[in-house]
Amino acid sequence: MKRGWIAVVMIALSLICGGFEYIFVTSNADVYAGMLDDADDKMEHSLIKDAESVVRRLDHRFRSERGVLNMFMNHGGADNISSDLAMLCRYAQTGDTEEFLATSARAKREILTMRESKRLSWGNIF
Amino acid sequence: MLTIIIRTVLIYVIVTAAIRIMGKRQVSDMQTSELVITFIISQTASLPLEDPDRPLLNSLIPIMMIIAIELIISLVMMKSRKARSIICGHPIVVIKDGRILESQLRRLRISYEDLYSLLRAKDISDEKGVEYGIIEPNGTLSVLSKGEVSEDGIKSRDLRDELDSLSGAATKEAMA
Repeated sequence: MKRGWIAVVMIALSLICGGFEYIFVTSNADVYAGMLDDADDKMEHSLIKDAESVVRRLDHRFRSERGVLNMFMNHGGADNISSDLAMLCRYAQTGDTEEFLATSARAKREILTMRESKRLSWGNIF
Repeated sequence: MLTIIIRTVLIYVIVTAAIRIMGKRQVSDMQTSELVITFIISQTASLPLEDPDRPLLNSLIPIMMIIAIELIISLVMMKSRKARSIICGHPIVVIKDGRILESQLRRLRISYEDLYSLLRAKDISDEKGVEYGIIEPNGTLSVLSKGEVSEDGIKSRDLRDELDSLSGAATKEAMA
């Protein structure tokens, strides 16, 4: 019976890890995508300084949460998002709207892919 | 490289603990499901060593789930003969009263030569001295020679059921 309890504890730990991963990744992905939308909007309205401020906050937040994200997602994917955010900061600084919006679209796609990969769906299961 | 070294040590410790928790014996003593699970665990454990970009949890969580499922299934098999029979199979009698049961060999897809080879490994040259030759669920051959079976008979219910189901088949083979 002791082994039965070990099994129960293992299943509980796995479910807790899985639940934490789902909540952490999806909620943060929503925040990142929202901040990117906000930055895009400001850039389109030529509010360059505001857009730069949003992107820098996003970059700072992503870097601070990256350690935990690396536990749940492929490190290459996190590296790509980090690179895109760094480029966005630069494009916002130079005021290059077209490059900014293109890079932002790519970063958003990567973030949404990261979120979708954690969803419990038939596509992900199979 | 340092991360791979640390991952290797972690995975080694965790897989060893996993095998200990499951109570594994030698490979030759394992049931089919246990062998499959050991292969899956080893394959899953090697993934983060091959690909440093892959998170360690992506292997550790599946290993934990596999161990948990194995522990639960082994508890279920302990309580339920039917579950044990479905998952692991049951012993199959291939020699009875000194006669090889060809229908049973066909059922197991074992040739006469395979059977004689297993008998030779038990230092038995002739099946005539064997009262029961049983292929166990893990594929090994157990031999009960004439005179070894006690007056109480076979106590294992799985084996008694198998012998009962064989009574009719053995009679037909004897007549043939």
